[in-house]
Amino acid sequence: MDSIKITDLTYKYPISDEPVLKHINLRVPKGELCAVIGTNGSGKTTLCNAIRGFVPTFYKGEISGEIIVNGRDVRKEEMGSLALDIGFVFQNPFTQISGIAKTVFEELAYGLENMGIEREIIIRRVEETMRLTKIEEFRDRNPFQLSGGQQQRVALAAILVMGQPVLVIDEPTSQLDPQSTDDVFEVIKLMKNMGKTIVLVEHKMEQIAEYADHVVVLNQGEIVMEGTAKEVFSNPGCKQYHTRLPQCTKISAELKDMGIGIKGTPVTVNETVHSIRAVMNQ
Amino acid sequence: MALVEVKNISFRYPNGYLAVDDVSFSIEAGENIAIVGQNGAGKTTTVKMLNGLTKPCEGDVLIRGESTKKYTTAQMARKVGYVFQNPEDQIFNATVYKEIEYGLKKMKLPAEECERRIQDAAELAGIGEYLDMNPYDLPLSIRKFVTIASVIASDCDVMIFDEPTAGQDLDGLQRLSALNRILTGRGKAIVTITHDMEFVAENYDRVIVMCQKKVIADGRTRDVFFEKEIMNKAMLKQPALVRIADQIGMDHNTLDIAEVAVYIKTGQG
Amino acid sequence: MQKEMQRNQGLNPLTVLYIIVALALISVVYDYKVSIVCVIVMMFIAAGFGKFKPYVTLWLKSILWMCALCFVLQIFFIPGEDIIWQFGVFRITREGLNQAAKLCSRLFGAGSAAILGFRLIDLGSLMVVLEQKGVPSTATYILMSTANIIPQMVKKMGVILEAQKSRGIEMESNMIVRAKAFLPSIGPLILNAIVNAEERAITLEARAFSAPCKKTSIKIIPDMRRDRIIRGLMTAAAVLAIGGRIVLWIVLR
Repeated sequence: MDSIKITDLTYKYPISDEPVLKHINLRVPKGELCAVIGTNGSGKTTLCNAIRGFVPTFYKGEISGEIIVNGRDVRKEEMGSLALDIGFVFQNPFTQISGIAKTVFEELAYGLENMGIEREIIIRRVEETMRLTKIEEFRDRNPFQLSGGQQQRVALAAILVMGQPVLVIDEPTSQLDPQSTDDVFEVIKLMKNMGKTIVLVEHKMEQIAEYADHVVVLNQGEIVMEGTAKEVFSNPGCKQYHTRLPQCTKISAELKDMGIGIKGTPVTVNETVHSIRAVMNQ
Repeated sequence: MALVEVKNISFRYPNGYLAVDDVSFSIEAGENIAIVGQNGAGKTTTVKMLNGLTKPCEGDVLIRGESTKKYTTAQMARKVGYVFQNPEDQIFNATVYKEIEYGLKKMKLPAEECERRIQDAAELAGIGEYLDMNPYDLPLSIRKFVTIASVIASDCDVMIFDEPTAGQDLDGLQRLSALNRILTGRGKAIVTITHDMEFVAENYDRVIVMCQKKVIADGRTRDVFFEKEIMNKAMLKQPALVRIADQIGMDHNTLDIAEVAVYIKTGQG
Repeated sequence: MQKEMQRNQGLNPLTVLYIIVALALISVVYDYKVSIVCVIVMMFIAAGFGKFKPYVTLWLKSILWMCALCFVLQIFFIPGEDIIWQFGVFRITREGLNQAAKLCSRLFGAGSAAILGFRLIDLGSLMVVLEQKGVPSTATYILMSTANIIPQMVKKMGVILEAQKSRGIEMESNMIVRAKAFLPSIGPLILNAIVNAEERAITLEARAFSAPCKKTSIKIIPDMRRDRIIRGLMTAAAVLAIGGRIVLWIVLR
């Protein structure tokens, strides 16, 4: 079953002449992680906002086409009620702190309080989520006092605890250092293992190659390539759309150009080493 | 005499928190240097002492032999330019053009010189087409280049870029690497803080690694990135090429893919 | 959790708010003698909550100073006929003295009450109670987040000042130079606030702020019989005080 089904979606911001999304068709089956990549300005963030129903409700503008998430027509639903189906995490760790909670514990509880969950259940769910996302050590800290990486993990946990089946995550690591990036991806991996359907916008291709079931390339508001990470990264078209490649894919391509007969499209260090060894053993 | 000389600087906040612990290095004109390390390692506090925003508690920073302690930060701005991590902290003018012009006004330059510098900086930063636009209508990644252009226009000897790679796509990274090359070619020293090790491996000859408020390595990028222990200690990942070279049995340091190719073909190199 | 429960065993924050508002009202409608009594009562209340020292420290630093300053300015600048003290151009008149005493007494009572509220009431708990009493959650959110976000804005201001200094804007000199730096410092702060407000609105939506359900709270705030009694008494006291004042006013006419 498709958790997300987008049919012929076109959207234009109020002030611009050109649509920022053009005739988008996308299906994400339940439990899959779909990565959206593309240059800045290609419409990735707008697509995230459309899936969550923030456009056009929040940003106005003209929209056409259909977005079905979890069986519900996003365009016909109230923005508020969609919160129960779709979780949303974005780039800036600081503005994702609600500003209402004095401790990380309360920050996680806040979404559940808004959903009207009973107190005992909230406490149990918050405890469990803090344990799973390994943020128990911040329990009584003021969320504003945490580092950016820690705040981003709290933001992810605060959404995860709400238990929506579909999660939209927009560039969660672009302001973080390598260690915090790994920590954030640990949480995303956890979400995936829990069976969530995830739409993830990211620039870090190594992680995409590792975690994504499906990769979509956006260019000037259109989906120009689609497939598994390997299919997309091995497609020569990537160059045309200025897509970053995983470092290993790039290295193998350059080695091929230098006359070394590497087979396939390695996307990780291990795969690359494996194919190089195969060449060396010949 | 080195352009910048950092001599045993330490910084401790009034509340007692030690942010930088006995750091020394020097920078020559035309050098392109990356500073890497985890958040909280002391990178930003260190570079803030280069333009006098933070005055060292111990030690001294000399720019062309003169201590930064004698000047206010605003006076230092002519010598050391600083691009902050968040463009939002700097930008307030209604157009990109005015934003770049703002810093130049303080210098009382002739009008033609001013115009020339703005055009040059905008072109280098790749924002020529946006000069009449409101910076806040531009995406964050482009806005970062607006603040970079402001610093380029001020033509200082040392330019500090704090995490310019964050959130940049391929085009942005390529532009950054091109402007680094051009500026160092003009004799500017560029100091860049970044978390993108692949970008460092490809673009910087020299890297400074900070860990727990200290410099734990400072040298040629290919030498430093080869040291597994240093990289692990600083919680950094070696670039993919270095890891591949290591795993296929190359026993010397490289950041050059051609050397790796030779090794694969001949089994030595 | 256990600890939190114990802390909440005291009075309901709404009850504390009633006490404070009643005391403030009484000291505003009567003269300085009543104000002084009210403030002494506030000190006892603070002591009763185990907050005597933090309250008095803050009180000395803020209210006492403000009142003294206000009093001095008033007695010299309010004109009058009946001079009781004169030195050169400085003179104190009976009218001035009365006027100053009246105004400062109000400031004294209301100000002391306000900072007592600041020390005794946990804003988060008060908001929960207010929401339960039917105050819209948008209103309580605005109050709550303003209190929490102001320290973050102060921090941000520091970063912006550093950024502007770094591009050559002088701020370490006299008043005129600093005044020129006003736009570059305040501009980014406002723009930042706008961008942040938009993103934070999205954060709230993501956390089901406007979800069509009845909200709950993990905070348990007991509202006991004694709370209701005290609130009744305080309302009565405030009404009596105002009524008495009106009667006095009519009688004295």
